[in-house]
Amino acid sequence: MNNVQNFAKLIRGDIMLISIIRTIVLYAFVIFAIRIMGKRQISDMQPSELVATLIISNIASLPMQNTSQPFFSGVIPVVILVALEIITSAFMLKNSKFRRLVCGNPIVVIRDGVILQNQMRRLRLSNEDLFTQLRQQDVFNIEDIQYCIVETNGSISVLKKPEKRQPTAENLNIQIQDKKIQAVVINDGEILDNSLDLCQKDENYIYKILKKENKKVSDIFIMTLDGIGNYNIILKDKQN
Amino acid sequence: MKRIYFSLLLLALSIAGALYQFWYVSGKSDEFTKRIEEIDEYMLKDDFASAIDASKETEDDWSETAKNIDIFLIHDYVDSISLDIAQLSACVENGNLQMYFMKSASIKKGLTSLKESEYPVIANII
Repeated sequence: MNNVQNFAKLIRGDIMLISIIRTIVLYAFVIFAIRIMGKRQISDMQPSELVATLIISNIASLPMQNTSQPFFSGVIPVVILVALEIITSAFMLKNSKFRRLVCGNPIVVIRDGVILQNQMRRLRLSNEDLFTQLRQQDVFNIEDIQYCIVETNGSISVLKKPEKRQPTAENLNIQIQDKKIQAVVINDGEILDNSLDLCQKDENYIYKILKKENKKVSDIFIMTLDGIGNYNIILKDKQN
Repeated sequence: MKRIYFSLLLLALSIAGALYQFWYVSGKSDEFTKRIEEIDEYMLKDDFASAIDASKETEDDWSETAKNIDIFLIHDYVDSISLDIAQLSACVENGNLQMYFMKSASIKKGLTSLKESEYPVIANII
């Protein structure tokens, strides 16, 4: 009986170990799969992308928790979904009819301050949901709105009436210095080459600044730089 | 464009893998069904010595094959066939014909089911 009990314990231990290894491998694999599919936040996903993401997460979890399922029963469906999603996205780029079929069309729900009730019914969008989204866009009065459009991913875009829009520098005939883009060029002691490219600078420029400030790259927590050479340095805590 | 080629490659690899799995499982299923039928012949002829040798050999070969089939299929399906094959050997050694043919029928049915469940037909897809 003792041997049977020990054997049972051993099997349970093996199963846990298998579960751990599968979880780690599948976790890395799903991240890789989502990365291949492309960068989107959940709020920006088209219906097909959201469906693919949800299904991938469910499928990948099956072999994690059930070790009697083959490992590839989690991998193969994910691979197929990723491939289909990429092909669908590519086809949607080329063919607008297909895109309309998969994603639908953006729909105007408010025009010149008037809610288009038939469109709201068509979208099954309640007034509460609409007003929630408007408030998130800092719109508190529908009479300020020229157009409110529900996009294919469910988010809304608002164009205010001209008299309610924020004036731009061009409207006010004001000249503003173009500082171009500001980017984080050193993060936690590491130079970020992509950010340097954005600012159209190179590493030598950074080293010149640091030499002037008598600092080393490893001392820096964050350094920001814009296109005209303005920079800001935040040192790591022990240096402050 | 690179992603499209990559995704087409992934699709092709998945299809190739699925075809290989289908070919492997079908082949092994047929092979072991034949071997069980051979043992049936020995038992019907009362050639117990040959039946014992064949059943032992089948049991050993199946334990190797089962490891590979486990990569593709749910382990429970394969485990039940493994158990039946092990019991088959015991029946042959004991000369228990009734139990032997029961187990033989069960194994052959299990192997056929293993193969047929992989066919891409409407019934299996649904």
